[in-house]
Amino acid sequence: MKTEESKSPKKTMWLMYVVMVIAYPIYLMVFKYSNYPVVTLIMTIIFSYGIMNIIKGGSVVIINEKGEEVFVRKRKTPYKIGELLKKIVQTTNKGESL
Amino acid sequence: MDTIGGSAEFLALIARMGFTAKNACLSIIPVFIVITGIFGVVKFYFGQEENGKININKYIVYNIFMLILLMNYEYIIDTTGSVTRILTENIFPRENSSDMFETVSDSKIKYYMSQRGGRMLNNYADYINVAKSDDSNWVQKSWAYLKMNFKETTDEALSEKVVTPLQWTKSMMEVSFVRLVRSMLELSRMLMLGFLIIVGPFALLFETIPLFRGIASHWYKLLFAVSLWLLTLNILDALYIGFSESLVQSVQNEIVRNVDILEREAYARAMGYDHIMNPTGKFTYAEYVDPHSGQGLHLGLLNIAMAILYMFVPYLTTIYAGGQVAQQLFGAMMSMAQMVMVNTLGSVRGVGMPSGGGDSAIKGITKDNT
Repeated sequence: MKTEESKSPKKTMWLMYVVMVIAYPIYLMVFKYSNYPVVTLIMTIIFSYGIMNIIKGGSVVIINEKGEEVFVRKRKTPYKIGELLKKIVQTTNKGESL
Repeated sequence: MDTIGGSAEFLALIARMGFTAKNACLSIIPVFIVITGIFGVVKFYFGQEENGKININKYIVYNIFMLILLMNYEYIIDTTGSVTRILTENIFPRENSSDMFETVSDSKIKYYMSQRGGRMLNNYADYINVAKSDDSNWVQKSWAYLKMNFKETTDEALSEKVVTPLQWTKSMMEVSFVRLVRSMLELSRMLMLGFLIIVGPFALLFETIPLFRGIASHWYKLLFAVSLWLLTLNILDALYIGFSESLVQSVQNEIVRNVDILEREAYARAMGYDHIMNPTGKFTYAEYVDPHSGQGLHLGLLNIAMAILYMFVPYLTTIYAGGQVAQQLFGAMMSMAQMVMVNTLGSVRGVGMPSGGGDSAIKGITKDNT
């Protein structure tokens, strides 16, 4: 089993991927997309490319026994949503000047 | 859609409803793709995926594939129809149902003529006027056939032969009953295919959500299996015609061997028929064919056997094409029909149909009014 640390994208690339992801819902909201299925398909592919790179940005590539690339999360421990919310609330409270 | 059958208006209705469903799904599927993609990212970053691994195909590539399939939905249906057509029409050519029953009815009439002589000719003449007319529809032909059977059975009763109510019912229902069962199955196939074509886009739409994975392949297997009922029907039709004609042929061969050739030819010429009949009624079927030899199976029994086989078409199709769900669905429909009949008849106890999943569910509900 071979492990490769995928390179984190540069800030400009991150921005581009985020734009790709955000542009798609905007396109869906603004245009009558069902009338243009080919454009919708191209936009879907662009959106999916953005999503894929966002996932790649936070993952490590592992090549398994079969020779397939598997994307594994860099951070080992999962977030606990309750604790995360508590942390967000605490951080927000600290920032506030009472 | 070329193997569905039915009128052009019905096909147009299915196509219209299918297009409406497809357009509705095309307007929803991008939203589902967005939700699934973002759900995948969030789940991955929050570490909710198993062992932290993410399957990109599951959240991204598969959904694009589903979108492409939905955009080309018409081609999926057309390709399935073409495959069914190649399998059915090229390997076992499709007989028009009406023509097929005419052939079987003719075989039966020839059989009785061989057996009973010229007595049946008057009844047959009335029938043939309707059966060979292009203006008659299958209902008129069936009715003419029933009338002929009625006259024939009445003749039998008048000639002091004992006709029990069971014999009379069997004689009246023979070919018409098989026709009824076959027509019912064809109609069910037509409506089920119409339904499956209309709901297909919804199956492809829900396939994009990881929770409903496998629903599109389930739908397609069902569509393909129901399409292939036609192949099973054609094979059964070929067996039905072949068996009934071979039965007639065996009787006629015996007569040809035994009746004086000059007498036979003179009679055939006088009647204007090109096949050989028993001219005097002297030589009967029983005299020529030993009922225990295997070729003396009565046409009535053949019809009952064929009616049962036609009911089993969904099951028979599963033998080579899968689609157990279609069989179970049809089995459930049959059980429902049976339950309604049993409840209507009141005190009659239900007998489990040899069908699929529906069977077990219905058994316990059957009322006991005794």
